[in-house]
Amino acid sequence: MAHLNDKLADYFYEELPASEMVEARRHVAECGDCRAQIQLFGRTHLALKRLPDAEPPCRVVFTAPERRVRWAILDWRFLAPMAASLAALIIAIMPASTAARAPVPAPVTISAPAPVPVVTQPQAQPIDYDRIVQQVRQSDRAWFADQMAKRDKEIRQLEGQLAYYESYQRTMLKETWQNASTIQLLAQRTASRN
Amino acid sequence: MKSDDRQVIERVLKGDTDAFNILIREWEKPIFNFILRMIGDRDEAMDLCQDCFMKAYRELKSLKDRDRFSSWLYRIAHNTCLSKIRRDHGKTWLELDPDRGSQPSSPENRIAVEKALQHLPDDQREVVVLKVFHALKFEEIAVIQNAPVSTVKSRLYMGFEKLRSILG
Repeated sequence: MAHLNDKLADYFYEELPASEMVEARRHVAECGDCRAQIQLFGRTHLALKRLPDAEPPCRVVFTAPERRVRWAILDWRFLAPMAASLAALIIAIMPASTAARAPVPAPVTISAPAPVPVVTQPQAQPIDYDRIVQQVRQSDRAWFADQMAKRDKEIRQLEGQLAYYESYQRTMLKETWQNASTIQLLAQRTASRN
Repeated sequence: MKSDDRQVIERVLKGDTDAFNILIREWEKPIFNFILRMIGDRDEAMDLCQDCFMKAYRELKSLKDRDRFSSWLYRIAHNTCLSKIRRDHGKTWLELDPDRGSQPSSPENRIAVEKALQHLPDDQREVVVLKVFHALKFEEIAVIQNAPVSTVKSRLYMGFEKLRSILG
């Protein structure tokens, strides 16, 4: 096999196909130039890899955007002008309709008296107060349960945030100590140079 | 891609918006660190990290292959960083320490490497960060950068070369 050249990174990160990887390993075992190149590449990789990951300064918490009311037309901003224009329309129509109605004489018609309908009053149903009270209680219970669940959720979220901030505080404290030791080290070096 | 991500994505798409916080908790730190290493400023990185997750939520429906959520998320972070870098074209976040004669000790080395990383061109820095810190495959980085795999590799080589020349 020829030198690794542009396959050096593939070899280092083990992204060569299996068969090529075996061949490449065999070649590297024999080739001093390729070994030296891999070592150089590896040193740069390690120098970077040693950099610690940073903790995000705060936590991203996603809250769903509130849904828009489908009947936004019922909003007062829309209702007020609608009501005004409706009132104007009624005022415009009313005199015309009364004027049109007034002069026309009613036609006289003679007909047999219509039979008087027999009106029967519906029987009053007894009000089931117990059932109503029960329904109100049930809906109250459901509402309270819903509210309690919401509060529980909020408390859990706050507890999570608190835990996060505590851990963040610890990390910052650690970083401060590290920075302090770095400053101390740099000061010592500067002093020794002078 | 963690095995649970697919299920969580399904839940979010079915309307369980709280489930999106599970994805955030899982990917917040890697994405924040990726953006931080691209931008070099903690506060800016946090803002962009939030933007990135908002975009991800809005565009989650467009994710065809749910097994490639991580690459897709990095692609969004890449675009977010790119927009920011284009807006702030010409700004430099960190200055290179000119004194690099002696062999640095460990904390000094850390600072020097971080600064050197900021001095790479954006496309090279991105490849280096995604490869070294996030262990993405060359093919995945190629998708994120919308570039051929060979270009991605040459960016890595050039990036490493430049880092070596800066660090001495």
